[in-house]
Amino acid sequence: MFRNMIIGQYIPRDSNIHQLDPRIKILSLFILLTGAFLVKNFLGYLVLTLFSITILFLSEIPLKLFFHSLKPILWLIIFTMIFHFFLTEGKEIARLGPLIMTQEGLIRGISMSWRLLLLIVFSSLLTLTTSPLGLTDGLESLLSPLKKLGLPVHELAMMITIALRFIPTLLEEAEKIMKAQTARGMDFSQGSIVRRIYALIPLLVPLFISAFRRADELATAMEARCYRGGIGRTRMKELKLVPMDGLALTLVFALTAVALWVNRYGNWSA
Amino acid sequence: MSISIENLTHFYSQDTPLEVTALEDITLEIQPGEFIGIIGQSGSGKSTLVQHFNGLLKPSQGKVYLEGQDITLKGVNLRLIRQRVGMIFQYPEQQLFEETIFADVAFGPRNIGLAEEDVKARVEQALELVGLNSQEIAQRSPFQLSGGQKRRVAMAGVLAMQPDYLILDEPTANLDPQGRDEILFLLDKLNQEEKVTIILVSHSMEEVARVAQRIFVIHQGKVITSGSLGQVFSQEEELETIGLALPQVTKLMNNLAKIGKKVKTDIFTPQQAAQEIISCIRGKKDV
Repeated sequence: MFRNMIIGQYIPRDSNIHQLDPRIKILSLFILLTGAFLVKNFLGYLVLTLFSITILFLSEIPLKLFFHSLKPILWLIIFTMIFHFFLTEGKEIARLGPLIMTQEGLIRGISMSWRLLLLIVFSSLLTLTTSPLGLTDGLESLLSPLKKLGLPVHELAMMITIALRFIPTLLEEAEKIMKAQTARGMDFSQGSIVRRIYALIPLLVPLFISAFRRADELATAMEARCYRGGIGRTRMKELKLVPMDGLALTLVFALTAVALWVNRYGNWSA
Repeated sequence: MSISIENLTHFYSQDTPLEVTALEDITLEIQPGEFIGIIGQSGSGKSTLVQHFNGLLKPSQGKVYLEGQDITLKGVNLRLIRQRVGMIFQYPEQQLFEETIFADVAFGPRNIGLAEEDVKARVEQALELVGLNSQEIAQRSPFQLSGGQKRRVAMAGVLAMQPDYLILDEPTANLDPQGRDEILFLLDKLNQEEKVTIILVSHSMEEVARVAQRIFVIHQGKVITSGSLGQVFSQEEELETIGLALPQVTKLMNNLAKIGKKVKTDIFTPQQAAQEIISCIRGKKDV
């Protein structure tokens, strides 16, 4: 049942987007998200949307897989849209029983869900094309100035890496324990809420025990390899910027600027 | 009166781009009282297959019948089916969760709604069956036990439901030779004395050869051969191409036969082999 979750899953390919430096990709995401928040007009959204579609094609990620990963968030977007349609005050354009749809609501609903969709598309483009390890390396490198303020940046990055690494493992384990208890007559999906909460004990206790055991084993394994934190630690893969990275970042800047510039034109402002 | 599988196919992540065919068009039947071995390499689909026997997984296509009843239909009482078809997963000790051994073993019987007296009787019986002294340990925490003992407590938790069919997925993984012998001995006893139908999933030919009467060999989601030990082990080359080795004694006897010794080759345990070799040597002296 947990096998179908592919939100934020990395899909290895050999595209230009995959090869970009993770730091550049994180920065780009940051810039594009800021852009998506500042843009207030459909023309601006259109520019960002076209850009995201271009990245999607360049990334060589199978379209079917990409849309599948968006599915779980579809409901959120649909609800956002509907709530805005009916709960915004303004000029009435349609009526559905006690619900009044307004022109302002229509515009705001579409623009909010469009914005939400852009945020999700850009974020998943980052996680789909960047390995979790690359992501944390990039994050560590970007945050390293904060070391001077005493923030344990390396340790934080290591914690994130480990957490990401163990999510699938724990999901698999939860599924296995659930099956074992189901085979012993446990029913996780019936009864009152109180019963269902009690039903979680046979799942959670073994899951915690195994998580602690794994943590302990991992710590021992790391110590056996002389891990002692970030000081003086070198890397097998150094992050190195190449001209392509500069080009990508310039493009992102330029297109976000265009999106903000066209903001002033057109009268569909939302 | 059996477990019967008809044209079973199972896909993982069906209708997604990650779809994998785990099992393909499997048909088989298991009679009550049999001791079945299901053998295959890791990833061959053997664990997926047995999870259909008690309705933990639903087939993507095909049917599963338990004593004539189609258990893939909606509205089937799966709890009852899981009581009748017990399942012991790999590393069952990882599912222990209660404060006392008694409570953990009683978990299954309580779930199927037995009265507290019956529960108590069944827990004691199950603990004795796996060779643990219930009076001594029933009130202790399962987490204080050794690895092998934990596994036996976990097995007792399933045996306490008194299933007619018992599926075990690699029950001897990670045990020392003695622990392994004890488990195999227990399975044999359950089959012989309690008339429990046993379905043993394993990748070890050696182990299956010691206890099973009939085997199914699974490879890449298909049953590639099945039959009695003799029938399956006579196909040495086919088995080796899919990475399964014959038990060493069987191999030894095959080799002896190849160099012209007059020995039988349908031999699967060291004891049988010893007897056969002795009678072969004696036979020569007589001539």
